[in-house]
Amino acid sequence: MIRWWQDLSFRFKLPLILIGASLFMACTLSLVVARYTFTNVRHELARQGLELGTLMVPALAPAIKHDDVWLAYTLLHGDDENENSAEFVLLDKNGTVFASSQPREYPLALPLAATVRGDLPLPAPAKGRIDFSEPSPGRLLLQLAVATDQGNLGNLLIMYRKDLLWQRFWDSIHSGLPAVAMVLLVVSALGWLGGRLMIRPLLELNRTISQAMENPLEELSVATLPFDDEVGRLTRRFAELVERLKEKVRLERQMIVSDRLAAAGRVTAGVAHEINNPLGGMMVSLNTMKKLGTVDDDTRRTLDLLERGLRQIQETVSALLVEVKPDSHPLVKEDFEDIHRLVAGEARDAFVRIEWHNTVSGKLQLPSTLVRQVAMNLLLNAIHATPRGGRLIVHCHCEEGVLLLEVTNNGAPIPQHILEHLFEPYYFTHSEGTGLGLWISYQIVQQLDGTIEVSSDEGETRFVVTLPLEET
Amino acid sequence: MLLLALMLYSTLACPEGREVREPLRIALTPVFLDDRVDFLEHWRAYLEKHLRQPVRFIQRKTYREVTWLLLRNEVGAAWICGFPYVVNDKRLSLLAVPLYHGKPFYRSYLITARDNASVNSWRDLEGKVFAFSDPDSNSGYLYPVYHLRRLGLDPATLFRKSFFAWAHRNVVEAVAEGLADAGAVDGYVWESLRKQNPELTGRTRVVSRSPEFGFPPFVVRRNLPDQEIEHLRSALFSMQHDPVGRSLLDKLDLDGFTRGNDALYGGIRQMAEEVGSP
Repeated sequence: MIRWWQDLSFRFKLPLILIGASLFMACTLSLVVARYTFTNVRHELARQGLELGTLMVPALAPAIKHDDVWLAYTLLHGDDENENSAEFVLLDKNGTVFASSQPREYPLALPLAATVRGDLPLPAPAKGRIDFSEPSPGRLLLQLAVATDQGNLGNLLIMYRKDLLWQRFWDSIHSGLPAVAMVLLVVSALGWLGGRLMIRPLLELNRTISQAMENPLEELSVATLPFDDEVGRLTRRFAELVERLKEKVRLERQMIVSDRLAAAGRVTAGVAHEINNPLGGMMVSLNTMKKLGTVDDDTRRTLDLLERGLRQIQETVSALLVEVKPDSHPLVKEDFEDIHRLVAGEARDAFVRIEWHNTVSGKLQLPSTLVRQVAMNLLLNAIHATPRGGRLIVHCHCEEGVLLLEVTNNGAPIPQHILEHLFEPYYFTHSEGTGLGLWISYQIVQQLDGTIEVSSDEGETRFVVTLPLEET
Repeated sequence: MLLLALMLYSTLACPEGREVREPLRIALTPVFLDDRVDFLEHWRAYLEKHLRQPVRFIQRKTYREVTWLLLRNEVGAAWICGFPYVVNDKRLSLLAVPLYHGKPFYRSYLITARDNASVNSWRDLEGKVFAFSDPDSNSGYLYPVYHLRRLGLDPATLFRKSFFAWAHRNVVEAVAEGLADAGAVDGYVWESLRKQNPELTGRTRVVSRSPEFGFPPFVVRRNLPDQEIEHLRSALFSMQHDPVGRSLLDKLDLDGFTRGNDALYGGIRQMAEEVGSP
């Protein structure tokens, strides 16, 4: 049972608790009122009985005195035989029944049955609060002395069945019952609605968490409440938590990409080195052989073929081997302007407009050759990715010790799954590329301790290169 | 209503200019069902019409009071029980005797509650509560006391309790309600009541019926002028020949009136002498 209650959704539990509390309150109040009413009814009945008896006593006295049973009977019996009325028993001095309103029940000239009489004689009713005595179960009893100046002639007992008390009680409360029922109904409805209202943010939160478990974190949006109560704070803390989780996931993903690229870089560099050394030897041997000139024409053609092949290998390998060449001159604004001039023709052929913003000034302590290579790569890629009539925005500027190079085009967005592998060699190619451009750019930026980031959505694709400037 | 209109008309049709005479005062006792106010009003109107004289009915709680009214000349006539008549026959004379079932006789009934199986004869009354109607009633007091003594029972000690209900109708009610275990009642009243209030008599049953006695008579005081006596007598006698009178007799459950004679009350006189007058 308890377990069942604990398992019950708060959607029902809280309204039920509120309804329960309201009902408990209403019932308690009703009981108090009912008890008060019952006491009142009882005293009212006693008062009425006493009043009636007090009226009868002066007429009953001569009836006893003159032994006129019939007179006493007609006084006690009354006209109508109302079942709800009191029972009257007139006892003479000896305690035997002189007359009664219910003669069959209280036969004449016999002592009153002990079950009815109880512990007579009873004390006279106290002034003020009038109450019955209950000498026997189910009977309420009042006693009045029937006396004249000459002394006590007997006693008048006024008895009510207790059912009558309940009947009167019911009569006085039953008209109020619809109102009580209405209050209970309204209170229950309010309890239910109030409970639903209070529980709604928790349900919302619960739903969001369930979504978080089933769907990618990025798609999750948490509705927060502006209130400063526990639930409002909880929603805000949860939103914070979700944001942190999103950041963590993003960083992890970046880290994975970086690690993969680093691993690929190490492998390619190693392989390139291993190839470069014997390749140098082979090239020298080939040159020596050609210079000595002791080969016939067929052999020479073969040697030429070998030389061309080896040179192609050398070019490919040196493309993979990115090294900071110390002979590079420092980077100046003009280096970027050169790039602008170099790609201008290509952009024009592709009907791409370039918005050029170059605010670099002075000599920057960065190897110009490598930076130019990166810029050139990004620009050519961007021109290819931009549709005819499209627009390309280039920003080159320095801020807070870094050089920023932003290349933005409004071409088609790059899908997420490609973005994750964009900088890997041969992964993403277009018709006129080698498939190594971005890979090489990435390697260069890595070697210069910089970062290269790409973001792509419906509006635009943007590459941002950040290169730290050496302190001079 | 038609009856009333007829009577009104006949009253108005009386010769005018007559002096307004002293009303004739007639006392009634509960020897019949005397608690029907409308009936009494109709009967009074009938008698006024025939007597050409105002009539006043006088009712008292006890027979004794009515007898006193007669003896002290406060009423001219009265319908009383045979018992006070035989006691006071020196100063009262018979006016008319009602005919019940064609005869000037009635009986006394011993009744008990329908569901009271313990009373089946006079001898069963020991230790019971008994209701008499009036100490001056033949059927409701004299006969039962006389009969009990004849049976060798003492009415003074026989009952647990006895009381007077002051009217035959009250005796029936006392027995029906269980106030009394048994009671003595005028058989004529009980039978009339059976027609008018069968529910009440239905709660009682007749245990024993007495021999016949002279029916409670109309009497006049002896010093009433003979002319008035004759007038009143003929007014009563006329009832069985008059449609209005007939319907009134029907309501009384009587057939008419006869002149009657003192010998009708010999039985009551003998019992009264034996029991002793109150």
